[in-house]
Amino acid sequence: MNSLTVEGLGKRYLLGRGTRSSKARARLDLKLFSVPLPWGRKAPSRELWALRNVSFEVQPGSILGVIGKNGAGKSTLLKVLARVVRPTEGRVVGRGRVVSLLELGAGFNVDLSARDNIFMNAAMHGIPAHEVEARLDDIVEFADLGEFIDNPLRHFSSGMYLRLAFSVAINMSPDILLADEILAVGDIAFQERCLQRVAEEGKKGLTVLFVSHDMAAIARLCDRTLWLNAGQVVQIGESPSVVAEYQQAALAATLRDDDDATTRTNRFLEVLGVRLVSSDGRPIGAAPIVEDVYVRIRVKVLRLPVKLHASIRVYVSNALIFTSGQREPVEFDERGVYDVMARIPANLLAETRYTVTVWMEMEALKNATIHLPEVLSFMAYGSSYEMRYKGGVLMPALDWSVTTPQPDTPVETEA
Amino acid sequence: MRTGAAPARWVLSHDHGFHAVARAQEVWRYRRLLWFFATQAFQALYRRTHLGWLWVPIRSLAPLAVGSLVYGGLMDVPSLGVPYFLMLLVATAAWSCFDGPWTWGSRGVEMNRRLVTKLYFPRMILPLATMAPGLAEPGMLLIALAVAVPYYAVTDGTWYVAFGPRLLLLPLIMVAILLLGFGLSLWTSLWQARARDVRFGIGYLLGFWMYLTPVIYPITQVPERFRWLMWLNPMAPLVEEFKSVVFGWPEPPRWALGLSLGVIVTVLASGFWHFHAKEAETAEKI
Repeated sequence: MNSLTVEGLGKRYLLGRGTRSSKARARLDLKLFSVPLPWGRKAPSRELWALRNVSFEVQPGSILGVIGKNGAGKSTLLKVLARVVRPTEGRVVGRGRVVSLLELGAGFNVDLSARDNIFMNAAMHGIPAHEVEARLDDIVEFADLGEFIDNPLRHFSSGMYLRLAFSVAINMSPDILLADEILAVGDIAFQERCLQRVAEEGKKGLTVLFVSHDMAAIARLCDRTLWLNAGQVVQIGESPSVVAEYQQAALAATLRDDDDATTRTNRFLEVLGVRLVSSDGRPIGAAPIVEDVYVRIRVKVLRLPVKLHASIRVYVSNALIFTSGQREPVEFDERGVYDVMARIPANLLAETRYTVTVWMEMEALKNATIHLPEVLSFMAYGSSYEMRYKGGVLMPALDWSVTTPQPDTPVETEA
Repeated sequence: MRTGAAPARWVLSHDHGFHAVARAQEVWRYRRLLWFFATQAFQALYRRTHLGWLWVPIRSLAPLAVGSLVYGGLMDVPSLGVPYFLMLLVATAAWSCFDGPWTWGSRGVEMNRRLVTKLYFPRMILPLATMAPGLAEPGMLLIALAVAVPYYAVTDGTWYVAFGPRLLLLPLIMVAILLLGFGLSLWTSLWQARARDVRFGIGYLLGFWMYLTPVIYPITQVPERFRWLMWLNPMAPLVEEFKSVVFGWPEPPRWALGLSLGVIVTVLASGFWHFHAKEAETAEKI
């Protein structure tokens, strides 16, 4: 018996009506009603199929990874399964209670205590109070809240917030858990505990759909992986092979998009991979704000001499946030594999998702540039200090000081 | 956990059809959310104010004082033998079951738009629960009434109120008025989530609507031959019936009350249908 059967699922969005055509102008466009006037004709809307013909099955007790580029339909799929979005065609047959973690602490009220929030979050999933009562100790223990249980969430660090959100979700004894990127944030120790717990519950029959950009986590965690592209299933199968093919294709695709300078290799150099790593060299899926992290570009030097000038461009939702490049080009004396590392210092990033584009320029060889657009994508997550000053796309730790004005300068009063 | 009976099977597809009983059961299962969203709306009411809940009596009683001074005093609107203030108080108590709850209920989806795009729960709970802060004013006015009646009994030597079993009709009338507000909220809360114009529109409309309802004047002020026109307003018979029950005045015609109840049932039924048909679409577009 399948835990989840998805048959020919499709979701269509209509994008703004084409009001630019002259035919369409003869209508009164109010935001709510658009009133077709007698002398006009309704302009066709542009359609976008966020999902089309998606079919797959998930066995109880298994973990399905969902991967794909931004806009491939991963989140739409989860939203359909979470009943937030209604499918346009096809159907889903599922068994048992669905608990979704589409956003960290969606439905939490920061003015209420953790205890009240636990009950309310359960209520939002339609779970009766007595069931929560019985599980309250487990929830508090797993989230490691201790005496904070009666404090309002306003005073919680982001770590505690995350732990609470996950703990509530997993302790509601879901039959199906929908997790969007959620396991990729949080400190490593907690991540491990989450994964362990998910595995335990899996043995008892919990089915998990796990969306992530963190390929290492997908490969490690998921029994099978679904690869979506432009709303359609590209592949579904054993995680390691799907992930490998996806990475291959992602890298290859970046090369085809651009007209010039678009190979991951040239005569001199091959880029083997771009990863985010911690200061002790472990690949990580998300960057703790309070620690240094590195963008590691692993290259293979094929031919000498090479004088390399590497740079990265960092984007947040398609807006360029900063660029950084090597001040001096490096010269390689020997062939072999090297790691080009860019350190992103602690206390620079904000809690958001970053996308990294890599440029590898060869000195004096203009046409030999390797350009890897959006080759890396990661979340940054913070601690209690950062929680107080949220927002923005960067959160640098500036030097703050207080001094008295110099005696010889006139004291200005500013409005 | 996950022992015993096999977990229940569910199906998602484009059209789940409208099963009134199933929907009602669902709302019942999520009933704790009513309390949650109601509290949240109350918090939003007087957030960042210094007077806090003191605004409830101020907001309900100050307009009443000014109103009775201007209409009852300066303009000398008749009140059929009871003190004008008392008539205004009773009529406003009925009207405020409509005004506030509708305005608040209409904000329900808008106030929780982020949540609606992240989590599924029966969204019908939103307009229903957020009507709660709108109940503060009628509640306050009823308290004021409980104080004013004995006060007049002492000063004027008469109770004015027609004590008797008919007073039991008052809660029923208030419920009918609340249902009208809820039915309208089912329509407007979805619109308002997509366009805030609706909020201003409702405020504007209510301003007119009150003058077309016998709140600040008794229905006898309307010439007999135009009165049928007044009764077409579903709020008019309800407010008038409310006053007639309290003071023992002649009742509005039966047909007018019947029409009003018919409108309420229609608005509610069509509201349920509209909400069911459009809630998913709205959640995607906000």
